[in-house]
Amino acid sequence: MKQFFAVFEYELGTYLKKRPFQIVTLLLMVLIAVGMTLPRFLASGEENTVTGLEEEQIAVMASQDMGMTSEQLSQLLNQSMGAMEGEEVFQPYSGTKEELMQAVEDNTYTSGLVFDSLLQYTRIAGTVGLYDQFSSVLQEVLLQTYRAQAMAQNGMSQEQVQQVLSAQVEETLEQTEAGKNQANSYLFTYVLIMLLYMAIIFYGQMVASSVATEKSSRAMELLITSARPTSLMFGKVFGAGCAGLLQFVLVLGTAYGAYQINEPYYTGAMSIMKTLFNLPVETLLYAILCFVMGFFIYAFIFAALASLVSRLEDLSNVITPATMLFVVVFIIVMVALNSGEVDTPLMIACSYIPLTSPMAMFVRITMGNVAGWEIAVSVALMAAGAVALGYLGAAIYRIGVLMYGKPPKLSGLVSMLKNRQK
Amino acid sequence: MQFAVEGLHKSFGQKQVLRDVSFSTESGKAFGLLGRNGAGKTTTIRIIMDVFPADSGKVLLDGAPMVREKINIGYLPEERGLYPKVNILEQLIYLGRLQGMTAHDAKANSMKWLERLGMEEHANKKLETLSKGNQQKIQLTAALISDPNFVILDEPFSGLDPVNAMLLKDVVRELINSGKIVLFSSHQMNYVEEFCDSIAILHHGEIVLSGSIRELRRAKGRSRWLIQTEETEKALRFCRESLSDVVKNAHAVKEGAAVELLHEGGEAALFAAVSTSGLIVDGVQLITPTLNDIFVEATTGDDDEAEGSEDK
Repeated sequence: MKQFFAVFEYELGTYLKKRPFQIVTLLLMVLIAVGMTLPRFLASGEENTVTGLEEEQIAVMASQDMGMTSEQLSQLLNQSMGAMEGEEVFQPYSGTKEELMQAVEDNTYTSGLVFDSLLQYTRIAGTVGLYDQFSSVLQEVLLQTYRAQAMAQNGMSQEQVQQVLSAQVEETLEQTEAGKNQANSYLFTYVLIMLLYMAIIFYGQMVASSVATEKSSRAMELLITSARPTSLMFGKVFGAGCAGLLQFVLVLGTAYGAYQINEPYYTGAMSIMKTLFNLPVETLLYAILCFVMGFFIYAFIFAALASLVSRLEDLSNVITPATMLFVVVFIIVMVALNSGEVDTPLMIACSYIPLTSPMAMFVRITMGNVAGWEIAVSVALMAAGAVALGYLGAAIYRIGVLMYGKPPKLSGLVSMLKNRQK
Repeated sequence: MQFAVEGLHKSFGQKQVLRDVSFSTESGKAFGLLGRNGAGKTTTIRIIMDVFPADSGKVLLDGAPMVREKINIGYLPEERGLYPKVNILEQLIYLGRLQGMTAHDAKANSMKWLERLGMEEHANKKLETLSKGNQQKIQLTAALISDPNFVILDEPFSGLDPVNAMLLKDVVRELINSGKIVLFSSHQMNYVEEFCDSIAILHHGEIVLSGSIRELRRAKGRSRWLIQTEETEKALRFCRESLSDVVKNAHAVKEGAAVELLHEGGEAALFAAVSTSGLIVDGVQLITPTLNDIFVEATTGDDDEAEGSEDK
């Protein structure tokens, strides 16, 4: 235990003292603080642009047999569209369609509308934006007007028409205990899974490169003759884990702090961030648990693999299989998450295999139907898997650190491990 | 303390690396474990350090199986290596703590040894900024930091300049005089001769020769003679033509002709023949074999090229 703490302290201290580690942490904190403060400026900026922007001038032409003049139509559109968007100004236009086309091209008007009837019109425009919603809003207004006219013609009073048109369906959602509102949890699940993925890959590789550095500098020979491999292995992984967790807490803490300061500005589309920062405590705890478990499982694998290489250059070759496995898991989980079906047989299986469960089980907890005992079993399996991989990793490490030259094949490794057990 | 290994066998896969290796030594003595590259020295040391177990055989301390956790062994590995980018004092303290010391003791002892080796001014530098010889002294500090009673030095003198080598010699002598077990592995026979009382020579995983250096020398001792003469050519011809039933391997050396007796006690016949040969001879003298001679003789033979070493 004494050895474990010595290794742990040394490793943690080394990470915290490393310049790149400090710089990256600081940089991430600054970036996220700036990012989280951005809505403050965007929000105030948006107001300015709205008032400062030139209104869109839209020319309106009504055909003669339509029953409405261009002026009437413009007025109607200004009333109903203006209330919704407020950017467009509709003006009656008298002239030919060709002249209007020319006028739009000359930017006298932003666009033009030539009406045959309420249900049929031609839109003359320059570039139509990717997120252009003008047409759908306009069509809704036209449809409403058409329906109102039709109902009035059939003898309905103004109030009746209003009532019919403004009718809405009300839904009250009552969920069972285990039920999840996927729409609500999708976003934070998505973000947390991304973070989980990045953290495990990043810190796992940090452990791997630390092991490979010790090996290539040949410090290993002294370490392995001074301390037990299990102490070295566990101390290293715990040290890197704590450094990682600390970095994570600092960065996410900064994000949360910046969010708190700027909270009033998170309006409109940005209000989606509120769901992120108000996620249930339970979910947060599960996320941390899955991070810790996932980190240990993969860090042990990475460390064991890294002990097989003699030069840093070979490191990426050796850990690629483990990284690939993890990426595949990530993709499976992401596909399931995006399809909304997280309780498929594949996902259920994945949520019990320690290599895949940190991600799979987390998604099922937030998005699917899992009973408490299922979570308990999965977490127990993760913990057991982590410990088993820790000891297996230490055994490989013990053999690996004294091997120089070409990394061994898997079969060779297995036979060496067997040899050791004798 | 009495230290011994008995009947060590070790194979890696199909390859047998150690075959029935036994030797013993005691406190206050230096023991030389010699052998060519790949002979099994490092494997033997690693078994002693309990990096891996032997397939069979024992490592004994005072007659009982040695428990690695209970005894501190200072180890200077042949492949030197520490953390190049870490503060020297810091990594020494870390290594001391791994060997069970408190941070405070580890620091005090590191400073003590750094001062002893004239390295105290470098204590707060990064290892990679030091010259090779100085790095080696740091490595030695790492081996001695816990004041172990048992020290294993694998090629301690390689890469040291004469001044540093002298410093290290003094340290090694101190270790021996203060009653530690010193296990010495080297190719540099002059150093081995200087410190070691006994040696064991490993060849292809087997001990081909062991015992005290003086006895080994004496055993080899009376077969090689030097005929001191100016007329080397003549003397050689005489040996080949008239003395082929008494000596063999006649060859020229600086002071004359060197010969090897065919039979034990053949020197009387050699003296008689030389005195009546008519050659102008300054004298006939016994050639004392150096450890180097003994080593070369023991480790060459059946095949010349040692196999790839197991630790490379």
